[in-house]
This record gives sequence, structure tokens and C-alpha cells, in this order.
Amino acid sequence: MKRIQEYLEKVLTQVRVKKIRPILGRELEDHLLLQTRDYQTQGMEEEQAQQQAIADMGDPVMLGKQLDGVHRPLWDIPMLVYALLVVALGLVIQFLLPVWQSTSVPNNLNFPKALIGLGGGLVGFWLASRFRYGVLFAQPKKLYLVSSLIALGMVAVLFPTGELPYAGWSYWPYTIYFGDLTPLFLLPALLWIYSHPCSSRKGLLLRQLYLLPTLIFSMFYCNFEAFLCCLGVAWVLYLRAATKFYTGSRRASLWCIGILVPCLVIIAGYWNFLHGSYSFLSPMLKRFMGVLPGEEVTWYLASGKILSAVACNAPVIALVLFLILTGFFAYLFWHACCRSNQGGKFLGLSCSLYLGFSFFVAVFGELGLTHVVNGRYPFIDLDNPLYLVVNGLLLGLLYSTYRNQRLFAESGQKGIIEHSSY
Amino acid sequence: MKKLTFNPLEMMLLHLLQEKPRYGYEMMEQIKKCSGDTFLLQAGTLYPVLHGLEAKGCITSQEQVVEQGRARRFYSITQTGLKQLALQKNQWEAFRRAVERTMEE
Repeated sequence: MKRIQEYLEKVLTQVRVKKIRPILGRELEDHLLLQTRDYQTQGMEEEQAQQQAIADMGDPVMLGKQLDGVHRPLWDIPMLVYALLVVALGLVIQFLLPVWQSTSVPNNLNFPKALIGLGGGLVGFWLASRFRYGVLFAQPKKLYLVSSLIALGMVAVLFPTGELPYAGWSYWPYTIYFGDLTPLFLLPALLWIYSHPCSSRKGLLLRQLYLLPTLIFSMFYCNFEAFLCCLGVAWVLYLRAATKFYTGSRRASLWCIGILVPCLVIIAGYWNFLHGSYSFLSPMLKRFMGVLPGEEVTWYLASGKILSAVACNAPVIALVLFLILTGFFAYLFWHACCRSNQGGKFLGLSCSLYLGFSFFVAVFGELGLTHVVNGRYPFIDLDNPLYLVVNGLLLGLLYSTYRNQRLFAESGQKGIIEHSSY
Repeated sequence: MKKLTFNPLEMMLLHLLQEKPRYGYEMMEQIKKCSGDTFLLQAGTLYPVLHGLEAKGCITSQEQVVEQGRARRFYSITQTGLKQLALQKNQWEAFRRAVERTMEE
């Protein structure tokens, strides 16, 4: 019995949800005792029968991990804690900045509006995190066609009016910008891609076209972050699928090219920045590099330049804030990469890329490295409540990939034949 | 375009539970016996699949006290499980006919 208990302990240590461990332990113990009894009936000694029964169960760590995969914790505590920390930082900054500014400058931050936004973000997170994908992957084709028609229809209807790219639905005092709806069109595209496995090289390229309606939508509505996110998803999808058709050195070459090309683009841009004329540097960058205490911060808040506003008064805090936020978005990216199924991985990557791009676009805009201005910081920019709702929805979608083990109807089982045509 | 996806192990387990409530070891032995020792399941395969079926709502489970005061978990199929079983059986039939037709050529 001691041997059985030791085996069960090794299995159950892998199961993170402690309250399920006794239930699993009783079931597995019963199985082992029944197997032992059967071996004894066949003539084995008790100790030998126990050893054989335990060997038949398999590796305890593997078994434990598989059971943990089924009984995983409902809440990913590290992600929730990190997200709450970032939001709390946003609140602290919004409180601190008026304290730093000169008394002659009025405080233009609307705290009730910010709190409404935070509440909306929490509701958006809760709704999206509880999403059950089994409902969606029953009809991926219809969902994709409907969402693509809506996306392209909105572009077609509004384009002649000249109201693009800042079109939205206005209701006092808020505006829903249609560009922020891009993630809702990205999800059906990913659903459609993963409900139809790729079995040819031609299909590989055609598959990227499923993202085209979303790309067009985000491009016309000038949602820069969403556009980059969709391109990033398409690029990773292409690389991932293309390497299936190559082996050995060809596969390695494809991955090298896939990683090297974006790196070269980034290096070329930075080289241009270093060797270009100093008129390329915006006044903001010069100010950021030579910060002075007591600078007026109202203008910074109004123009969305939160980091600069903090840096003008507390450069060390600005640097710490930047590192915390970079760590948070890197954590979300890593979280998405850890998903065990392809669909969850790429939905998670698209959400985390969208949020991460938003952050770095805002930072680069503040530093004058890009011509994008008034970029918004996810989770800490409390001035636009609906943007906080979108942030909450995206984080909730990312979280839902953790809660749903089987995101899409992926077939990866041996002995199954699939037919596909393009 | 047709897509055939089914899980043979899930289908067999649901079929066994359609007959009567069973426990894990019993199902493992029954599959081994009916398949003529072709399918030799390990607990590492069986229990994650069983618990996965329960998480999907295809089966339910209940602990009962058996000999020597031990607790044993019995599984029963649900309406969702019956529908899933019917779907998987249809797909299995389609797969089997397709293979047979191909082999006859």
C-alpha cells in the first residue's frame, strides 16, 4: 500500500487544483487495488502484483499533467494580479499628475468618467473570459461570412461619405470608434482558418486571404495597432504552416528568413534614426531626454503623453513604469504562446499583439520615433472609457483561451482522414 | 467538403456507458476483452479522456461505497453524450465504408 500511496502522491502533485486531488486519488487508488487483485488472482505475489499494477498505470508525472490539463484552475491568478497592478498604476498616475502640476493649471481629468471606464473594462473582461467556443465552432463558415460582410459593408457604406477614418457611433459624451471593433472581426477569421486544415501549399497562401476583410477594415479605419496585429498574425500563420512542408535545412532557412526580415526592418529604421538629421527628433524627445521638474503636465495628459508627463517630474518612476508595462505585455505574449492548441495560441497571440503594439506605438509616438500621435496606453490611459472596455474585452478573450481547453474543432488525431478543397 | 473527425476511444467509452453505468477499471477491462486484447488502455490514457468527457457534459459521475468501505466512481451517460455518441457512430460508419470502398478498388 505504501508503494501505491507514493505513486499517487507523485501523480497528484501535478494537479494544481487542491480540492480535486482527494477525488482523483480515491479513483486512481481503487483502480490500482482492482488491478493488483486481478494480478494476484492470476498467481502473482502481492508485492509483485502491486509493482505490475503501478507500472501499468504509466509515468506518474505524465498522468498527473494530463489530469491537471483537464482539471486546470479556473482563474489564472498571475495574469489577473498583473493586470490589476497595471490598472492600479494607471490610477496612481492619474492621481499623482495633478499633484505635480502647477496650481495655475486646472486638472482636466474626469475621474467619474475614468471609473465608469474601469467598470466597463471589468465587465468586458468578465464577459469575454467566460466565452464558450463550442458555440462558435459549430458554424465557423457562417460566422466568418457574416462578420466579413459586416466589416466590408461598413467600409463600403462610409467610404464615399469621406467620414473615414475616424468614423464611429457618437452618443454623448462618448464615441465608439469602429476601428476598435477590429478584434471582433479577427476572431471569426481565425475560427474559419482553423476549422479548415491546410493540406496543400496553394491552400497555405489562400488561407491568408481569410484575414483580408479584417486587414481592410483596420486599414481604412486607421487602427494602426490592429493592422499591425493582423499582419503579425498572418505572418506567423504563414511561417508556422509553411514549415510543415519543408524539412531539415529548408525548414531552418524559412524560420531564419521569417525572423531575420522583421529584425532587418527594425534595424534599418533605427539606423535611419541614428544617422538622420536632428530635425527628425521631435521636441518631445528632446524634452524627454532633458526633463525638468515642475513642468506643466496638463498638456501631456490631454495629448496622451503619459510617460512624458511622469518623466518630467520623476524620471526614475517613468522608467520603472515603462519596465513594468513592457513586462506585462511580454507576459501576455508568453501566456498566449503557452496555449496547448493552435487555435488558442493564435487567438491569444493576436490579442496580446494588439495590446502590445498599442503600448509601443504610444511610446514611440511620445519619443518622436514615429509620426503616430495621441497613441493610447492600454489599461492606464483612463481618459477614454470605451477604450478601456475594448482593453477589457481583449484581455478577456486572451483569458478565455486559458479557460477553454479546446478552442476550435481542431483535428490532430491519428487515423483521421480529412478532405479539403480550395 | 466533408470533414470526418471522431475519437475512437471516446466513442467506445460512450457506447459502453450507454448500456449501463460503469467505473473506469471495468471499462478498461471490457474494451480489452471485446477487442480481443487489441486495445490495451493505460490509466494514463483512460482517465484524462473520461474526465474530459465529463467536463464536456457527455457523462456524469458519482461515488459509491463498495466492498471494504472503499469509494468507487461510477460514470453514466447524459443526453449530450447520447447525441455525441450518435454523431460519432455516423462518422465512424462513413469512415469505415469509405475505407472498404477504397480497398475494394
